[in-house]
Amino acid sequence: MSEFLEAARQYPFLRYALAAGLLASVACGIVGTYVVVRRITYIAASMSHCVLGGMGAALYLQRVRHVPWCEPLYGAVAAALLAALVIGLVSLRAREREDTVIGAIWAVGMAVGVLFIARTPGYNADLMSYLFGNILMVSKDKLWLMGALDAAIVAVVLLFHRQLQAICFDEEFARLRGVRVEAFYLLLLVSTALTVVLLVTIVGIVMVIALLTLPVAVAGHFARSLWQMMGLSILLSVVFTTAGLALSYSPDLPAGATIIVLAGAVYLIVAVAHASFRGLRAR
Amino acid sequence: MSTAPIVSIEGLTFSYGDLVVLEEVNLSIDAHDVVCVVGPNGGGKTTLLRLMLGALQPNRGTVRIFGLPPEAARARIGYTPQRSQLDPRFPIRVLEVVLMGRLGLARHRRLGGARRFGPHSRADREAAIQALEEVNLADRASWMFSSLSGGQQQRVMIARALVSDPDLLLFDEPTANLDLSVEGDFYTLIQRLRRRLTLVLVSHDIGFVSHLVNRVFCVNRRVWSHTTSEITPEILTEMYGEGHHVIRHEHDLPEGEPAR
Repeated sequence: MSEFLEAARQYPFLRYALAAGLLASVACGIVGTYVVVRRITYIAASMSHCVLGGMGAALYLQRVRHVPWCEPLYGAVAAALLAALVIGLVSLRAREREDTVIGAIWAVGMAVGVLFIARTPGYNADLMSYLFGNILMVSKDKLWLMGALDAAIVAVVLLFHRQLQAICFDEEFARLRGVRVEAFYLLLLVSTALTVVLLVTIVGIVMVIALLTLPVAVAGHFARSLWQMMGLSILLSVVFTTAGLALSYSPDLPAGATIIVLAGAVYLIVAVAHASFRGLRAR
Repeated sequence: MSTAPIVSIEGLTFSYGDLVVLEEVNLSIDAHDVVCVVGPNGGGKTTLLRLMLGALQPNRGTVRIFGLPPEAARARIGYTPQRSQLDPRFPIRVLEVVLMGRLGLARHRRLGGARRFGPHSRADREAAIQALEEVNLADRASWMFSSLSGGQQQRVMIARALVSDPDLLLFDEPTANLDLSVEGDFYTLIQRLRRRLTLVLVSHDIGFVSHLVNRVFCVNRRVWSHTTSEITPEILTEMYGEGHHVIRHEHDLPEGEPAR
């Protein structure tokens, strides 16, 4: 541990990684709470996988077609937003089976990404870092972008928490009270998409869903309101990302995977403890 | 407004795809009526309620609430859904549930102090506490909704409907999940509410509310109306039963007559 602290003092990339974990935790705890109580984790997972399509396309444009400004991160944002709008419109308008569409977006997005990356030289390292994350590669620019995303999400929640809470708790009642349910559902999906992109840079496409839901699942055992759930989730994801980073440093383990395993272990312990506590009380 | 019906439905037909749920429905509800909607499961009770709320659109015919389309009348309608629609583990306090009733009111400018965006206002909070007092749950305002009993949750939903000061209150299955100890409370609550607003109760349990109700609508694809004086113990017994009992009512009123 002291080795990690020493290294953090010495290397800016580690400090950036720690800052990235803090910034991602804010969005993660807030949006993750809505995602869990509205039961759309499957949608968030679909978005995060679909992001590969955007990243691959952007990478291809940048490296092969020489469009220098076309960063993979922008491609990720575009793909996630597109997925959010398609899923939102399908579930609100078309009578298509929603889960089929969500699954299709999930797989087709990945397939598109794989095709583009195959046509881009030097793809293996990139593909691995997209899939499993590389928090140590976070640059200063990216931190600014993450901060801006956080600010946007916090603003949305401060303005519209009551509406979002209402559509999560009882959509039909909210509609009757004149809340524009469709618009707020789309707002929730768009916020989810942006949060997913943020988290992809930390833990990678495959593990986003765990970082989005595990802190909330732990918080759910203690929280008495959505605000508490959000606060506790933010705190927990700060702990998970920071501790995961520190634990992975000395043995040189992948940081993203360490973070997720840590979060999963804490969730398991809390869930088992909670169940056995209730079992004891019932006796 | 005192003479105009609160609810009037004319020539209404509604179907889900090919399945006709309601056909040629004509009915009207006057101010301060207490109406009970009964009928077999799947007969269209809840569908009728959702049409009144504007949550569904009729294929044919019109629904008017206070002479307006339901969407335009929403600010004056209170609604309590079936509790089974809700996630029982949702982390939320009782007061926050009630405050949901104040959402969207600022847009209609009907209630002073209701705030559209950002946190709720002091006026919102006071109205919510007052609504909780009305259902005798003010002392539970900061409790978790999920920690309350079924009957208490039902009363919170009533407070949520009352907090917007509605003129028409629609109840979906208000007596489901009520235990015997709180049925009396519910009875006195209805007695109190009927003085200031119009009530529509959807129930499979008309025996429970029959003393309070002055009009009964039997819904089974069509709608038949009875005034309470027509409701004999025999009819009551029949209403607990299957759909074919309701069809017998067709002989009591000529078909297609507005259920008034």
